[in-house]
Amino acid sequence: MRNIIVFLYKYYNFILFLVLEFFSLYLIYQYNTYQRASFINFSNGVSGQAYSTVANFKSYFRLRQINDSLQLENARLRSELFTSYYNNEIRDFKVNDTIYKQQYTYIAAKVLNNSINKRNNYITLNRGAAHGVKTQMGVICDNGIVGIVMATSQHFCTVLSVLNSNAKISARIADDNAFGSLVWDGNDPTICRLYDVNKHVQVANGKKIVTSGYSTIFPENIPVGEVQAHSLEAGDNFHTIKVRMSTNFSNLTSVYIINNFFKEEMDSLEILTKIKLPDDQ
Amino acid sequence: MINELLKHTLRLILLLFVQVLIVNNVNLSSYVNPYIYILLLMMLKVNVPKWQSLVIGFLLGAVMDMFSSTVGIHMFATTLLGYLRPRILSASLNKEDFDANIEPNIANKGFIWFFTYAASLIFVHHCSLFFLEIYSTKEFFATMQRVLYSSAVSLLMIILAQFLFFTVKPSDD
Repeated sequence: MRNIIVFLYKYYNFILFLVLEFFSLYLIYQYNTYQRASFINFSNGVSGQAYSTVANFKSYFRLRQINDSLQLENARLRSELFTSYYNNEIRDFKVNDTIYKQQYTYIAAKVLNNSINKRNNYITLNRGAAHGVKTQMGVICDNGIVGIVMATSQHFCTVLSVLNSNAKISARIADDNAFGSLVWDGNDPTICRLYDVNKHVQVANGKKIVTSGYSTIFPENIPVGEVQAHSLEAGDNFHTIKVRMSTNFSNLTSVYIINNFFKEEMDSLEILTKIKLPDDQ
Repeated sequence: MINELLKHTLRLILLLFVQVLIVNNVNLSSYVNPYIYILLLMMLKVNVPKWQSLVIGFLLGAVMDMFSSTVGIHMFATTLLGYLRPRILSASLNKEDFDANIEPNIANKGFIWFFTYAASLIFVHHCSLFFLEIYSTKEFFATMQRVLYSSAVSLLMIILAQFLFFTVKPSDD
């Protein structure tokens, strides 16, 4: 017993060092398996406040740009208004619409903090659980995809940016149903790579890339970018496609969080399928 | 003691302010992410007990993690730094320095000593930080490039900060 105490006393610095390092490693391990909501929630509360103060100042410097982009968006939306279409219908009739049910709603949010130069980038937004934001919701901006909500606190949420090694987004080539997964290789924040597109598919530079709608996170046909270059190695079954992103991550200010009304239904159905599968075999 | 605590708290706030609001927002390249907040740990007095250096490192990392939406990676790197610091100091300083309880800065120990001290600590910190951020060895060379470029810029900034806040006496050795 005495020896143990002497040992502990002699090496207490080293033991303390090991304890602290193992604690950090334990946290990192937890994070990498996505079991991290509680810690992030706490940090969102503290740093979210600080970032929102700074974002208030910063937003003044970008007012002109924001106004321009809002005006553009307004113009586009106005052109989609019902009143801007010429009514070519001769007979006037009413249908009680039971065919179209609203699937998506959008929550407008402001970017409080954002980075593009790390290998794993995150974005903090000023909307949280109080506004109906939940984890695993998609985030888009006027001209493309932004990321996926990772954790929420009462008034803030953190978003896994597309520019993150953990982000993998299902995308397809527009007017062709060939789909693949979009990942960022960590170099240029304007370029991502689209993998797993089968080699029989014709790929051409300049073709548009859009979301596939195969997940419950992003709706179909949200713009992603366009093909900048593509290559097919000899003996390889899949194209490697360089995609120029349509989202400008370096001056992201206003974004939209997507709420999918059918998400829970679809997810629970898919989980059910996975559980049932082994029984059939 | 109270004075010392106040000084370091002010330093912490200043460094966090510069790191989070300025340095993190300067997008030089995806290969250059300088981290200068570790200067706080590097400039603790030489006689600070080893366990205090460890705990201060751990807490500094926790605060930094909070501001970068990460969990544990800054904690790990700064704790490692808190462990190595007293060992590097006792290997490279002489008895008079410990008796006088100096602050290991450029004014007290000269440019060459401070350069080696800062460079070794920054390299260890950045190495553990960037590899833990990636959490795989898949992109080993790209990560190594990140470590080297970022370390160089961090070192430059830390040394410039030293010249800004301390007057360097002409070296007599």
